[in-house]
Amino acid sequence: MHIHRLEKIWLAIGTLMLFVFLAAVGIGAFAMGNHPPGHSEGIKLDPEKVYETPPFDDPRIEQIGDNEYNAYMVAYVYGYSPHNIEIPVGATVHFYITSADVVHGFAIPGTNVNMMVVPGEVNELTYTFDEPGEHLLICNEYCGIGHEYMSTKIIVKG
Amino acid sequence: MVAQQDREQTLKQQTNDIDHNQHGKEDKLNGTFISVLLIGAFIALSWIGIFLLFMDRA
Amino acid sequence: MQKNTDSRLALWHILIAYVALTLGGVAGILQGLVRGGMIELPYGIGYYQLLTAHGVLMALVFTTFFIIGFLYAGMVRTTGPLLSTVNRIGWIGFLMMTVGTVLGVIMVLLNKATVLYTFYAPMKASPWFYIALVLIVVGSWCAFVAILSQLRYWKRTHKGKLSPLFAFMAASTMILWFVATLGVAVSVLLQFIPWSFGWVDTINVLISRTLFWYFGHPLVYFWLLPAYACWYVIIPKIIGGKIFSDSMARLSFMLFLLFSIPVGFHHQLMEPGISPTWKYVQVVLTFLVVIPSLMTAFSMFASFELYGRSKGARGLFGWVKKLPYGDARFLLPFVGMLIFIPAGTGGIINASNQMNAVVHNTLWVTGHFHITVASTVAMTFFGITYWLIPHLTGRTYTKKLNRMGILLTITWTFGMALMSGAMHIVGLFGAPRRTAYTTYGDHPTALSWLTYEAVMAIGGVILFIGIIILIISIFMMLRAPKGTEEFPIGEVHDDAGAVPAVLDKWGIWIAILVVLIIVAYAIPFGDMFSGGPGSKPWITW
Repeated sequence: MHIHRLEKIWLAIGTLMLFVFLAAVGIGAFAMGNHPPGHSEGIKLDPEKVYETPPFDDPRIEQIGDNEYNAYMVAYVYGYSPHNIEIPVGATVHFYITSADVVHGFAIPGTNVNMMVVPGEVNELTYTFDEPGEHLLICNEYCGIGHEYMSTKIIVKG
Repeated sequence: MVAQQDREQTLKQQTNDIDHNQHGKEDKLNGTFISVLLIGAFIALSWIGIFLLFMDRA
Repeated sequence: MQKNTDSRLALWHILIAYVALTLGGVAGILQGLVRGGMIELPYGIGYYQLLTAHGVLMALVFTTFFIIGFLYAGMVRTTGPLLSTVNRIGWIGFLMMTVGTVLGVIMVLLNKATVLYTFYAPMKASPWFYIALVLIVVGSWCAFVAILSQLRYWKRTHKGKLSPLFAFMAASTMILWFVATLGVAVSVLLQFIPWSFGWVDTINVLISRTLFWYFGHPLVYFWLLPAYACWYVIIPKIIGGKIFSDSMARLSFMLFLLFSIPVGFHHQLMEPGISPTWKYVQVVLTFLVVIPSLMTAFSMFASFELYGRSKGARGLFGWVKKLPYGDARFLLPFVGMLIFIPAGTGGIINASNQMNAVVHNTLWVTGHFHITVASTVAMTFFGITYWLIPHLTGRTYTKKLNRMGILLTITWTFGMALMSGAMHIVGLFGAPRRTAYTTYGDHPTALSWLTYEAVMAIGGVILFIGIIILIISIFMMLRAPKGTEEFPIGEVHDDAGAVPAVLDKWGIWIAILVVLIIVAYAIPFGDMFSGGPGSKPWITW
């Protein structure tokens, strides 16, 4: 099959570029721990019993180390529990979140905090809040008629 | 043995001929080549831009 | 082509497609104006109802009907009149799809299916909405059977000859569609319908999402491949040139078949329940599907350059001046090609594993699919329509129609540049997609989005004007002077070389595809079966 010399060169360059991109994200994910959010250690919940299942029976922020916290959260139509979360500047927070009803989003605009909240599953991501201020946290996955009102704040003091 | 080699040579020549036009060389596609390289550059610059944004926000 | 039942079959698909586009366009302009803070919806219409209608009508109905009509017309052009059984299957499919569409739209208008076109569980629509989807999909399978049967008949009566390139591409597109729709069909038939009727209590949400996106990614290639068929086969004839390479065109389609399906996880990168390893495996496979588009870019420019040089063009870019920009049959698809450069680029970014966090569920994604399906594919389809409807109705493509086509090109491009441009930017600032007008209690971050959302609205209005231009054009086509309008089919460049037999059959490619699907999905999908009891239905609207 005839392939023009210049097409071969172009495809080689293009494929190489794609593999460089794949290497960059692959190294970032597997060598430096920058995986996409996801908690696949077989944690499954009964969505009907979210509020009876630890730790979501007591949604809270819990200090686990020096300026390090676990946040156990539940998303529901149309808010988050707990809400208006206050933390000191520089805090590293491990968010663990599930849904009490439908699929929601969990996103802080202007940051890489962005993940799906799926009933029956727990999602997880870690973020360090270096910027003081009242950060908007929104649901960015359509969840019903009140979707555009579903938000809260992460209040970073310092 | 020699006849077979001759046949193989002829086949190779014919295959080469198929790859080239009547003038014995490939079509001039330099404009195409530069155009796709420009597309490649656009892809690379855009991707790197978002990559840097991601790293900056991390 | 004379008016006959084959022409009518193709024509009716295309006309229904444009009815859907018009209704979807009305929804779209209203959404844009609401999100831009310019109007409130009257008569108790819900924003998310409109959004559901817009997505279903544009992304499922307009596309599927147009594609099937276009492919039927091309099959007749390249393989001769449809067998009577093929024609009959075609009409049965058309009827099923139309009934399904009407049923689905009614459910949406009655506010019983305000679940958006992705209908994510555990939001539960009326069972009749899911039945409507089944009718549309199974109706489309009739087209799959019809097109493959027609080609099989042609191959039997032309033993040893290479399939016409358009017919090969049409069959490849429908094979891809069939394999892809199996996923959503399984989910709708075995999960959603029993659950929405109350025959089972719960639904496994992760499995339903995975089966949807197993379908949802190749869906976009079902849209793209007919546009590529136009670019590869029809555009060379329109400009007066030749097809650059039959083999490379076929190879690109086979690579699309292989790599557009086992990649659904790149739509699920931010979800729990799928390991990072399997997400990355499917990201790698996704990147491979970029390669046939890189091939297509080369082929397109090559056919333009060869044509230009054959007309005496000199220098690196002299051929650029030789192209028929004044012919809307060329200009609309050509602008679609150019727009695919940023469009495809955005797709590569979206699929880049953890980088997806920058754009997931933001308006950037909305900007992306408006320049892919709603520009690249839509403008190509519009460009086809200007000659296809005259061709099917025994009329001519007039100078007046051509002027309307040029006007449409300019209007659509300008409107989309504003709307999608603003969407991409405000998306990077985190503005969410699929969300009605809000300022989240006048939060400064949300207030900073308002100007972009207003620009989006203006772009949307301009696009709606484009739709009006298009609908007026269609009325003009249906009254154009009678005559014969050709269905342009290009010839292959002399030096393109012989086509290997493997690029005129599908057995080996489908076998490789099945292996890839098993490799990409078996383990992570299997893991989704162990676990919790699933979700009960929710009606949150």
